[in-house]
Amino acid sequence: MLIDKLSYQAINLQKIDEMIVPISSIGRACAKAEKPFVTGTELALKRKYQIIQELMQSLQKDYNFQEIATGALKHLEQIDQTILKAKSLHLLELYEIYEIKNFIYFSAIIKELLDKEELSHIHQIPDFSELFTYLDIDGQKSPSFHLSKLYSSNYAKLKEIIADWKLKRNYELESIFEIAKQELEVDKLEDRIVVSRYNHQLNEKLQKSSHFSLESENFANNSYKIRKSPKLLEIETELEAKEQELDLAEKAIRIEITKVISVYCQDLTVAISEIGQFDLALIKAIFGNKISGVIPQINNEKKFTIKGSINLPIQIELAKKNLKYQPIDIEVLKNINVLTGANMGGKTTVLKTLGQFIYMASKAIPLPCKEANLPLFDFIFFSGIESSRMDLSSFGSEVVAVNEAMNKPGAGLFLLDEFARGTNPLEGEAFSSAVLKSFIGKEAVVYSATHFTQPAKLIEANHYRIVGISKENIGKLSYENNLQSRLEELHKYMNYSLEKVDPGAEPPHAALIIAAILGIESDIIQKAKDYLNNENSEV
Amino acid sequence: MKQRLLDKINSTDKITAVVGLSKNAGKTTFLNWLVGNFPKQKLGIITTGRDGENIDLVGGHSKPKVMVPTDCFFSTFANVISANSAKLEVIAKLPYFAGGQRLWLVKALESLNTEIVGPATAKEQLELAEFILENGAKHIFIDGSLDRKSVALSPKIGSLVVVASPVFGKLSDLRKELGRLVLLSNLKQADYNISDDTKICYRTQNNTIVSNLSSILNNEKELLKLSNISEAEWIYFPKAFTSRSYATLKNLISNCNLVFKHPLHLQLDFAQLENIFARTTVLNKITIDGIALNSYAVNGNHLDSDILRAEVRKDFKDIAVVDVSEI
Repeated sequence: MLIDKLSYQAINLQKIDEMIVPISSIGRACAKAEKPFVTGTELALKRKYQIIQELMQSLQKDYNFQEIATGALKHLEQIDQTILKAKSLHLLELYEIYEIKNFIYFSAIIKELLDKEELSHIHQIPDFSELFTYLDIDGQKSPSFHLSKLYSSNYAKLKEIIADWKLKRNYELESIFEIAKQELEVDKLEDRIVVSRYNHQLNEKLQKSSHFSLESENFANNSYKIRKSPKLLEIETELEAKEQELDLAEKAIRIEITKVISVYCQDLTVAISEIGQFDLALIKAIFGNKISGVIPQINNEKKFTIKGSINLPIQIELAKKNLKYQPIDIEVLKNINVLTGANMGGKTTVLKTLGQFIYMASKAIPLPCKEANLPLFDFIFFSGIESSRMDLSSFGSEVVAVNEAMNKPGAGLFLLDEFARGTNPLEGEAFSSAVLKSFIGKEAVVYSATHFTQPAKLIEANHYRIVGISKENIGKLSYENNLQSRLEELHKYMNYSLEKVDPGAEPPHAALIIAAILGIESDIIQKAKDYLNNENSEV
Repeated sequence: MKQRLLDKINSTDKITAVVGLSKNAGKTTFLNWLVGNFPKQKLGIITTGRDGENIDLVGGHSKPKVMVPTDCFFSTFANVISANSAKLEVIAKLPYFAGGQRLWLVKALESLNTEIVGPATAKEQLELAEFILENGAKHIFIDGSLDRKSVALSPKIGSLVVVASPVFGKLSDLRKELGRLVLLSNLKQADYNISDDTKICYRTQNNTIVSNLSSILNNEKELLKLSNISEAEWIYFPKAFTSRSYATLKNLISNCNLVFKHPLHLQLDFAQLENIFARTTVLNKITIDGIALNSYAVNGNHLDSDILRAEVRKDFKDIAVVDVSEI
């Protein structure tokens, strides 16, 4: 598994997956079964990305492409069970034959589109034109299906005979109605008449009539029904017999059609697979164009360079508040990386963005950035999540999760968010440094956001820092407005960029400033400052 | 009278709802007569749930099959298609379900007596109606109801035919209820600028105020607290307005104009309705094309057919009142 459920939720991957849902149920099944590209499959991923890139270019060149393709995919559904039935020559029902005809009608539209866009090399959909001609024997050129008279002369003949008998029946009925109308002296008549019991005159007429029989009676009304003549009964018996013959003829046609379809079962299975893959690739390409995404370079060296990365779920949330997202450049050149910065500076966002990018790359999804060069991993681990286990504390669950991840086979991307913050700071700092050191010489990449000083001093690690708010901008912050306005101001003046700093550099100490901005009373802030000054002077 | 009704329906919009005053009012019998005599070909029939099954699943009494004419579109289960393979054309596999089973759209290649099955929600029924019209149908009949979630509340429904039988109650009750419905259909079109038709809003002191209330039910006291509501020139209610709300708000609504989204949202008795009628308008008007009577009642409360026909015709001289079993 590329990513465990808790890390998946923490990194907001569900929101990204929800943006890339294939149109057809076939495509959605494909997406569900899709295996991520992991270490060692870089070449296959590059080929997949090549397909997405070609589709993105075609979508940009031809505005009708998306409309035609999505319009056809909307009509395509899984027909695996029907194909299996046809393959084993089990008689197909009328609606199952429709399913096959509908499938090949819309798959032909996609095939034609891919040919036109010179993309037939990416998804090879078999040609079903002969089968379609057979199923569209009346030349309707539509996905709808009925058993045409052209399939069997016997069937056609029976249909005509039945139509004749129905005409005879109607004629006989009309004759009975005409006589009955004259008898009752009325202009119009229904085959069922309800008459008040107190309408003695009409009741008498109807009861005397040889053309009506009393169907039911209650305390208020009598109900009469037209009486069938011996001739009409004879016609109906004949009609019933012919309809039984028609049922047999209809079944014989379906047997023949099932046989014809069975020949195409293998091609139909191929077409389902190709269309599912096309749907999945198309939706990724549509997404790529929508976010102005890029196709990344894929390397085997466990090094990253991402220019202008965007965390899409956060960008969407900010946009709802009319706030802009600041794209960030991220590089990972060593396997151990430490990130420091002020609270509210976006350290967790950097970790989540890295997780999102590796996840998206492993699924050949275009990336929301200007440029990217990435490796593949076997799994992604994110540490800053509360476990649902009741028998573990927050520190306990964090330790258990990291330990399990470190013992996993393959190359992992470890995203540690303020690891060991849940215990006393002295031990936590030492433990955090020791865990980071254990990655020395390993294939895994660890990116650790921390407020501790010791991990930032590891010489085997690259140390990055969020630039944060300049002293000048701190002076511009207003402490008077409501919380929402203060947060918006903080966002406006915060520089979320990363800068590389010396391994020994102290992490920034800005907790009290941030607490003040977030509305903590000034005397509490002052007491904390006094406490810090006393501590320093005692030292 | 029957021809007058057919002409009236034929002249109105393309979607007509046939609604029963009560369950087992005789909608299927009326629909069978309607589609069998309608002047246009290529019809569509949409039902709520199942229609034409042999036995009523709730009451246990036998039910008439739906008589579908040639070229008529309807939705149904796969097993109904299998039983009529030589008589149907399969048009589409629909994205709707009934009783957990998938629905299919078919067209009758010849007339047949069958079971039709429709999607459960008004939204899906209207979508299906649009789809059937796109496929070439000239007129759609929707077998609807008069409840608060009914398809009949949609502005896309051109007109209604009300099917009434003594299952509803005594003749006097039936006439009163028909009178209430006809009165609702006579409410005038609102001429106010309602920017958000999902929230209660009102006009007071030259300002239109949109409240946070989306329903008046259980919110009567909240409404009375709204700023300057007592001086409202008009008040708009987006959902059901019941006799209970009427009683609580009697003073407030005694002078101002009232606007409702749909006439069927007014769940008031005849007297209450008459009190506010002159000051009430609606966003979506309803048109009653006709009343179809059925003197038979599955619960045994049959009425004398002559009296029923005569009394209802006397009440509603401007509306086509038919009984399909009348000669």
